[in-house]
Amino acid sequence: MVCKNALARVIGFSRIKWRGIWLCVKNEIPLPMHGHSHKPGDNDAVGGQGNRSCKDKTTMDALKSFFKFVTTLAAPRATRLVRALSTTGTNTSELQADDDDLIELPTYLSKRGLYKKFLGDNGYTYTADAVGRITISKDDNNDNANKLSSPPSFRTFMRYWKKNHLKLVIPKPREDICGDCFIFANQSKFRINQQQQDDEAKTCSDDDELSVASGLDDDEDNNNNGGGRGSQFQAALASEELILKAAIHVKAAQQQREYVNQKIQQAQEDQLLPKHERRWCFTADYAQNMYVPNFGGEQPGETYYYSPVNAYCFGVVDNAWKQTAMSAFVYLEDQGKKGGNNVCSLLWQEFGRKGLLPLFDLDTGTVEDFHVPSPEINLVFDNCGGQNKNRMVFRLLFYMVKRKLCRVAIEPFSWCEDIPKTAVTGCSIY
Amino acid sequence: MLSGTEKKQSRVAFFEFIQKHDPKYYLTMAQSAASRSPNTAVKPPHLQYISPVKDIHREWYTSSEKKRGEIDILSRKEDIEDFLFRLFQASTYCFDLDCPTKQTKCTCLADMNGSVTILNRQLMAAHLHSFALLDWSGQRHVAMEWMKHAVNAKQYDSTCSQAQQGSWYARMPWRG
Repeated sequence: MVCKNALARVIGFSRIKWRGIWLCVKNEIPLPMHGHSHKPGDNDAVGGQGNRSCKDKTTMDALKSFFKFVTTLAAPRATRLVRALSTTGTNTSELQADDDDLIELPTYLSKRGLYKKFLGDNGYTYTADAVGRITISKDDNNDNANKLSSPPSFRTFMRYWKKNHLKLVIPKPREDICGDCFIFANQSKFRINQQQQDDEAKTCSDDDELSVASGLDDDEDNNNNGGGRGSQFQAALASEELILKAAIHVKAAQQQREYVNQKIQQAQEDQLLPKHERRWCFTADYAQNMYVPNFGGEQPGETYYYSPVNAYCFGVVDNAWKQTAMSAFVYLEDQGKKGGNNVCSLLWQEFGRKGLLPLFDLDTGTVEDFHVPSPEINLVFDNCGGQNKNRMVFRLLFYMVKRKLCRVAIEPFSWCEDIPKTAVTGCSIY
Repeated sequence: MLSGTEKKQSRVAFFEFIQKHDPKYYLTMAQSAASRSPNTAVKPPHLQYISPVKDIHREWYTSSEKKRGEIDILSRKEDIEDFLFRLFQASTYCFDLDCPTKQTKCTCLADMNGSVTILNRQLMAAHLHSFALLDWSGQRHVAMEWMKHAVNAKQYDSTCSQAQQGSWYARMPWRG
């Protein structure tokens, strides 16, 4: 046997905790429940002392209706239609973003912005000052001012989101999605919405007809039915055309993917040959922007404010090796931009590192005689028009041939973001 | 304003600079700093041995389910065992729970130093570890059961002693 002092010391109980339990034992009353127990969603109807907003039915109903509305704002996913058609292909393992149920909101929305809108819809004003202090005040002019007893906090809002709408996400902004995918997805979404509206209108008109119960002529009925069938037929025809177009698009993507894989395989077969006999294949793209602190001279103070400087990273991979190594070219925004000119310069630098550049006599402007150009150089890029798919990069292909880097320069450009390692639209051979 | 980490980094950089360029001055600085700094190594007796049960409980319930698998349970049990060993060895009198700076006349912990074997200590550490992994209400319920058991044991002891003192057998003349 040990005393209470020793026991409390061993199990790490404080005086207050021990005394609270001892009073329950002494008075023969049950222990109090934890404040956060019996959250809403439990079967037990007894409420605890926890978050009141979570237990408020009006708040939960308001959140439910708000998220129902937010779900309708979802942007069309370029992946869904294309993936549904391309799953029959052989290279399905290369697909990105396997989650079919993901609902992507437009990238211009933000979580704070949605919370602000929710409060605004329910009669509250959300204001934040420059420091980040938040003030939520009741807007008496709003009709819904007395709808909620108290506004839920941002944490409650996010908790509800994560618990009930986990698949509803705001993706990061990106620009290199294939335009055709967006067009097909938008068209299909438009068709679906139109069909739903037609169905709703039809059910409403049926109800009206039943309620009025007026006798229409048989001819009119026939005409109406005929018109409905015609519109249905048109809709079906349009959706078929849409699917056919998408199928062609996906087929082109698959073929382009196979083409790029073939070029990579050729480069891997030739990896042990001398460089003037090899067929080269490079994949290049910019990484996401990085930020480094700016230690420039025009700062207000040493510690007050350091605005970050963008650092760009351009990666080039030589696909000839199965364990590929990327050459990353990193530079700050004051040293260069992210345009086609920079892409060409960095690719030229990489060609120099690989020993592909011929020796050039600056005085005479002639290439040394002993240089033998490579048979083929392939450059694989993504679909970003500002960087890769522009006139500067196309000119580079001519320049490569003219400067005798290679005899053939190929750029199988613009693979779809959702179908990686795949070019969609076509290729340029010079 | 510098943050705490930045202050620390700048201080370290400053001392490294002094140490590199003026080692003699650095030595005098270090000696004077050591003479001025309070002796933090010696804590009050009631704060010298803090139970790791509370920290284990906090660590378990603040980490996600994925990270719970990465927690080294064996080392935590060893911590508890080590704590028990040091506590039994160092204790002479128990500290009062209501006033931790005062000592009581109880010597239960000191008595356990000689009686508890290594195996018993390991078992105690295992039980304490499982106690630490209980949730908020679970720990309280277990402590409540111990208290009820102690109350019953106390009542049983008192009734036994009363019975022994007041029974006819005890009052017989041959018992003295």
